[in-house]
Amino acid sequence: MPFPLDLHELGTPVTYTIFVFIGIGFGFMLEQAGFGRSTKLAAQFYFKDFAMFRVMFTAVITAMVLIFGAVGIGILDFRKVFVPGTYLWPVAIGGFILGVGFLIGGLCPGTSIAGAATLKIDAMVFLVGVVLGVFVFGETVPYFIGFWTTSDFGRLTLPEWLGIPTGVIVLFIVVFALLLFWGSEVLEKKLDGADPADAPKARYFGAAAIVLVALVVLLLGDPSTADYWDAVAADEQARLDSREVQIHPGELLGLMNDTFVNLVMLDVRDERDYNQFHLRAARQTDPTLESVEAVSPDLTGLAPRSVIVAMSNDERDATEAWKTLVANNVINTYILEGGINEWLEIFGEDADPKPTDYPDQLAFTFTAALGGRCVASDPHSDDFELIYEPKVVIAGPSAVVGGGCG
Amino acid sequence: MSRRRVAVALGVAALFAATFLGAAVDPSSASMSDDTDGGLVIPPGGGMVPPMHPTFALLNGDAANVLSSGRPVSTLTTCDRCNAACEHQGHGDRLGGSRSLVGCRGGEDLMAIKPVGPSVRKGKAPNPRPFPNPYLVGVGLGVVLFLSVLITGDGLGAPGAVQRIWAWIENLVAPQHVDTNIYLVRYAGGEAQPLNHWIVMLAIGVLIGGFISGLIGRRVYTEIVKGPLISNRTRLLFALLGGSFVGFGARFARGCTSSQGLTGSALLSVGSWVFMMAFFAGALAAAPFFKKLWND
Repeated sequence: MPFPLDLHELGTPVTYTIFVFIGIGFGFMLEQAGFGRSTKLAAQFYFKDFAMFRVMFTAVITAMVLIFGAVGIGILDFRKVFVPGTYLWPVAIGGFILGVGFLIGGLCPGTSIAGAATLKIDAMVFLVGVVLGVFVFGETVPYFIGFWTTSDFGRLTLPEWLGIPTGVIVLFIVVFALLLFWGSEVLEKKLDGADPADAPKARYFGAAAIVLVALVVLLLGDPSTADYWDAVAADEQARLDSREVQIHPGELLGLMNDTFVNLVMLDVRDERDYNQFHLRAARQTDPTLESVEAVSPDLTGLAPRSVIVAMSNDERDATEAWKTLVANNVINTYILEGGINEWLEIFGEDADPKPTDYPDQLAFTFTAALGGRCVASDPHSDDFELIYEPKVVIAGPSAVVGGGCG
Repeated sequence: MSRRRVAVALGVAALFAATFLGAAVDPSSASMSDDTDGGLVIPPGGGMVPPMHPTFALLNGDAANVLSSGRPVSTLTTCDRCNAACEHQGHGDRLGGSRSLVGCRGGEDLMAIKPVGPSVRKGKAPNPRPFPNPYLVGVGLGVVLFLSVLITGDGLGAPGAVQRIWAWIENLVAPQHVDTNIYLVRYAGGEAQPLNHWIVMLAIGVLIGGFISGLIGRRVYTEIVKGPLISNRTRLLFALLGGSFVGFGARFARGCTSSQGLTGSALLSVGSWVFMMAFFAGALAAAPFFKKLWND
């Protein structure tokens, strides 16, 4: 998946040039829409001019089908796209205040810049007002920062929330928007006497085209973990094969005792083995694809300097889990070399070895299921002299962080 | 420090109180005394209430007024239908509903428009082109948004740039204050460079793009865009007020109509759809109270 581009790699001058050009396109379209004129925008709310509504919703559905079309054919990695976080109540209240201000001022921040570019004095004054509002917010937010950070659902999209495939939602929104457009034309005829027959016929073709693309999005379906793995397999399989990501037990012990690292240990053995013995603070997840997929979202938004280590009895299940995590965009992910069996070989002084019959089986027996309370669950690093080659390199987040108004 | 905070809080409270009081007062009352748009005109026929701004009589080829009411019409109405800001008589006069007879300046050949009041503008009158079809522009805007998401993984927005420019100014004036403010510190705390961010580049682009589009559409000229019933001063006052609401609301909602509204909705963010509904609800709820601002 070549998109979105890695802006860190491109460097600042290129990135900034790209953004200036996107801004030019944005400003051009805003001005073409007539959004530099407050009267035209405000007229929407008196049902005298439906341009604002039509431009906005046409833009939303056009961008939506193109974005999810690109996701569907596998050229855009949606997980790397910045989606504004859902802070339910602050968003609702802020949106309402913004709506009131929009009606009073007749503009919004983007359109006021476009208006100011065409020398509209009211747009310039409006911008000064925006600065004032931003200043007031910055000065007062410490008083309501508790509320402002409340009801945080993080990155939550409608398909995730409703548990419905993206394509269905996309198609529904497109059809809904088209119905609203039709309704606005009926309303316009009723209120202003405008004849819909005057409007260009091409809009029917446009509507048909957008429904068609939405249907394609529906047919393509959401990309699966396998699709994502295929996209990164070339690089990542090489790292697996060269054993760059399998870390020695000694290095894991070092990470466990490193207070500057946020270590997440993911134990993908079944519950029986986990209850017999596991590393202290390790988190158990079944080795199935679904279970590992389910924990992946929790592991993508971790604090900086986080390291994830997957482990099974040997390496087989841990490697599969690692692939799933990497395919799902979890960064700084490693595998415990030799798994729990090798760990016990080194640290498990009181564990009894037993022969194994099949791969990824626990090769030790325990007199009691002590879980994380064994000595070997959290051994003293001073007691062991281990020689290993450190492999962990903590990378920063690769996705774009920030966002529209960030 | 605490006294300072109290002072700021009081100031904010005063601003909001003034706003809500202002909202309760009929906006047109402010415009009565300070009309700056021109002298009074006693229309031919007399006996009518003098209009507040320059007017034209609509005359046909026989120099007879084409309006059945015989009254002159405003020169300052912004046309809702053809989107032009030119001096023309609003469609509000209806003229028996025949839209084709009344146009912008392009309609001069159809009808003699003879000014009966003093003209507002000096020099060449602006002659803007009509705006293209909104659906078409919507598709264009959607493609720009798509390209932004595709290339950069991020959408469109603007108030972030305003925030950053402001944090930069505040940091110049009172760096210690910025460093101790929980919100501002992430923009300009310590060594952080508030202007060194892509969103500022985007805003510069919007300025350039808007200007180019304005040039093509012959819409680059100084003007105070407003409803016909209010004065320039009223319009600018409410622009300032509305702007501050929008600035505050945009930061509160963590996004504006572009970022939460357009971008977030296209990306199917739950919060963005909530934002959209709240935004339209807010504007529709406020609409009846501010009719005078925008209508004739």
